[in-house]
Amino acid sequence: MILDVKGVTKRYGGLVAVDDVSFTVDESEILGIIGPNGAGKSTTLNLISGFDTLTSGSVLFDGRNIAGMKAERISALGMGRNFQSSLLFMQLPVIENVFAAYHLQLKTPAWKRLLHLPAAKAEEAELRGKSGEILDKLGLGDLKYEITRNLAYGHQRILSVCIALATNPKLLLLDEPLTGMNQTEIQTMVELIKWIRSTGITVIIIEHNIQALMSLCDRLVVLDHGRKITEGLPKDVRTNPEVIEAYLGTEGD
Amino acid sequence: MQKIAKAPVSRAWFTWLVALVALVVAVVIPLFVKSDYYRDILITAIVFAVLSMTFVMQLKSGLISLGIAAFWGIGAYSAAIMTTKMGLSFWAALPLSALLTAVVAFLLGFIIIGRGGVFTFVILTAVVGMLFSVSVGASSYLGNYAGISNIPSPGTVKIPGLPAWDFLNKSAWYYLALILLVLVAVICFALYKSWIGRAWTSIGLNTRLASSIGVNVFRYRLLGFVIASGIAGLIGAFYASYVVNIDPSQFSTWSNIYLQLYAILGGIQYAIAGPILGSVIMRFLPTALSSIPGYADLVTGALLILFILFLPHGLLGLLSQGRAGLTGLRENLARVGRFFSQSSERADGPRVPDVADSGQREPQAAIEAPVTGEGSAPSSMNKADER
Amino acid sequence: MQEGEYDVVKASEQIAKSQLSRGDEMIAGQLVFDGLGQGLVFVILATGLVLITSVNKMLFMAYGMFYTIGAYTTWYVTQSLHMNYVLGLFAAILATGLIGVAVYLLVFQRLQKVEGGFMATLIASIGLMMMLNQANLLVFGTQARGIPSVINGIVTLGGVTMPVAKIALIVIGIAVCVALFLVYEKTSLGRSMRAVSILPDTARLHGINGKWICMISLGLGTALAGIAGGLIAPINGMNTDMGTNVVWTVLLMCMLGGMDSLLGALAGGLVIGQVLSFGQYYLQVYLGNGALVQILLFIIIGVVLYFKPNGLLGRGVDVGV
Repeated sequence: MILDVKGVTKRYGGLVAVDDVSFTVDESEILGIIGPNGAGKSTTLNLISGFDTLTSGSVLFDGRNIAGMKAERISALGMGRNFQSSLLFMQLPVIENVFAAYHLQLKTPAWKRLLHLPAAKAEEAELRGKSGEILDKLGLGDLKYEITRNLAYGHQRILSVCIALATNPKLLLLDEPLTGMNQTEIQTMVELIKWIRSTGITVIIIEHNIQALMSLCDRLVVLDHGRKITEGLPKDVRTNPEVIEAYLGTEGD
Repeated sequence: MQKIAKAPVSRAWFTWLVALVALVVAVVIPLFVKSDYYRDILITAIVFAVLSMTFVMQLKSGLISLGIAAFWGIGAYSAAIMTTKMGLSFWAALPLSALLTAVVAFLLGFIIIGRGGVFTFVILTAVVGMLFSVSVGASSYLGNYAGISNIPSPGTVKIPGLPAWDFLNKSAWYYLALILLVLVAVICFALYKSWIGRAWTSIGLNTRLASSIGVNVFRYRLLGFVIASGIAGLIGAFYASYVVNIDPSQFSTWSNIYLQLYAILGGIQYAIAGPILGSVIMRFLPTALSSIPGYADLVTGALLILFILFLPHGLLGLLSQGRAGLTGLRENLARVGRFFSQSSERADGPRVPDVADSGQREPQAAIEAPVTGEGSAPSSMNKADER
Repeated sequence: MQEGEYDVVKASEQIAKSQLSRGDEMIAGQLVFDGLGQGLVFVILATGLVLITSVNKMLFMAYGMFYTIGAYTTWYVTQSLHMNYVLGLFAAILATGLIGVAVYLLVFQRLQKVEGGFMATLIASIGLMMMLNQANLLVFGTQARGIPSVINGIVTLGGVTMPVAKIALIVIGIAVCVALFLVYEKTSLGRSMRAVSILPDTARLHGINGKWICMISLGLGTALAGIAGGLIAPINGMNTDMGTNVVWTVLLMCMLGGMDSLLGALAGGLVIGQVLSFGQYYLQVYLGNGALVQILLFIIIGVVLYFKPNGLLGRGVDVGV
């Protein structure tokens, strides 16, 4: 079990955004988190990845309680994520965005790096090469040197995932990676995620596009109004009356 | 389908050439400029250039400091005390003052940078500046408001093969300043091109994203703050002996404004060349214009506003973008013209990123510079930091 | 900080002289009163600054200058044009408010829109500060000035010396604050300002004209600084540095209360008024150096900020960095 979320709660003053949510994730699984708007999915992701502080509960990552840890530390422990809004270094070329994510993996001793000795430069070149490879693999190879700002939206989202991948994560959190994509792009992304899992990385996806998740995820967790209402295999969740109620109920409002 | 962007051609050789030429010019200048008055301007231009460089260093990770003058002052006063009251030599006081300043910055950094972020940082650095004046003024050991006088100069330095450096002569001071400048420039260059510089840039561009890739925002900001302050202290120690008499008014928070001006004039994306250019221009300009008394502040303030409005990339930005830069300028002037001829504008307000894209911002570019061909695409993250 | 120094030093001198015949409670009472007087001016200043900051999302460093301009305008109208004091106050409000609006239209509205706008507006406001500083010197001269007190008389209550003029200041100060709070809470303008300060993009969706609101809040904020200057003028006089001297304390006060909280400005102002009053007196008596109160202030604020980085009542100004 790579992630154990236990009784996680987040309160903003009087508002309870996430209420006693618990679930587990096993290695190399693809877990989907779904639920109507405002269900607390993104908040849960933020709580797990350290971008928000828990009001109560615990999060065990690889057996270690990471509740309260700063985001950068959790990232260093092997949890990568993208952002719903595609946070990117817009002014930099695409390859530099990915290269930046290798930040924690530089192994040459600091003094050698500061003096820009050949060993350090060699490592840099190697990691730049790796960045290029990730981009190639995910289909952005041609855009390596393009300024990120100029990229099409779909490509930006893929780049977002590339950056997360470059941190060499054990667990990858994806926040609505399919938003704003057309059918072809969705197909590509789904294949990508499958490939990511095949390399041994565990994936948690938050998505609205349940259709896409059906074939992708091993299991689904359903949230509504901050609470987990059910979890299970996609085919079971799909026909679960509570889940249907949750989605329809919101539409009826 | 987007056309394929080619790997940008490195123009580093050009930058190095310019730097070399500039260095040669700088070394031979005292042979042509014999007047003490102009030599003095050169030396103080170097001092302010270094200070301005420390401003830009902190700016990279998003820290806008209004307290650099205070650390400059701490360095100066440390050196002054060390040489006048503790009997240390100038050469010992120089590095020790830098170290002391860095330590003070380290301790203060926990409160100033802390969890408050950029906004708190700006205010608290200004407060530190104020505190400095008050503390020094209140302390009789530090000479109160009269300051410390008769700070000794370094003794004559004899380097075999070169004429002796007699510090009664301004040219000796000039060369010392130049050496310090080159030293600082090298340190900055090494840092900016390293993972530290990249971490700073990533923090400055998008703090959230930087966190998510494992960059410890606080630590790197603190590091930048400490190094920058240490450098300010170093040049402060030099300054103390150079001007012989120091008092708190020389290090007032007001002088920070000039540091920012020089950086913006040169172009804040040019972390080393920008401040140097800005400082040299601004320190020579008043003499060139034989200043109209009493309007200096007005002009300085106006320059600041005009540059930030119309030339946010500074003069170097203008130069490096050539015609493209001018287009940007023309566009903006046109925009001003349109403003005055139009009566209404669309409803707008502060462009605060909403929750979804929090953290994104352009580095200090008030107006988007048109991104043209190979010339403008940085060959590496730090191309803009090369000279 | 010159006005405060002048005032409290004078008060503490009075106290020291009659120390033999007064108990500690009376000293405390005097200090509370003096702190209140100082505090109210600070409250007005802090409120104006918080208004500007929370709506415009920028750090308006030129703010202190409007304090100076307000004071000198009042002086000019009353002493050179020989009109009455109230007209002088109105002139101060008008002058500072108009300059604020003009500056917004010319400079800040364009800088706000852009990413990296925080630094741009900061730098621009610093430039503005310099220009206004020099402009004030050029227009009004370099002399420290004073305005004869409009109301004379002293009331002594329970051993506490209260000049009526200061009581009037406190009353007017409270009135201004109450008026401001009413506007902020009850009027649609106030609601719009709050909307823009909390969720600017959403506010736009609801049809609130962001530019107008920003412009008005800047003008209002600067006008508040102006009125503060006009109010303090007959009591403490004025000098060309008053703006710069006071702006740091005001900034700290706003930080303490929370940069985006009007209530915080109120609380912060009153608290700091008292801290300065008591601190300056006791530090003078026990350590012989009243100016050290500024260091005390910094320490207090440093501690508070360490535990509550957004101030006591603030929610944090999102400047997008």
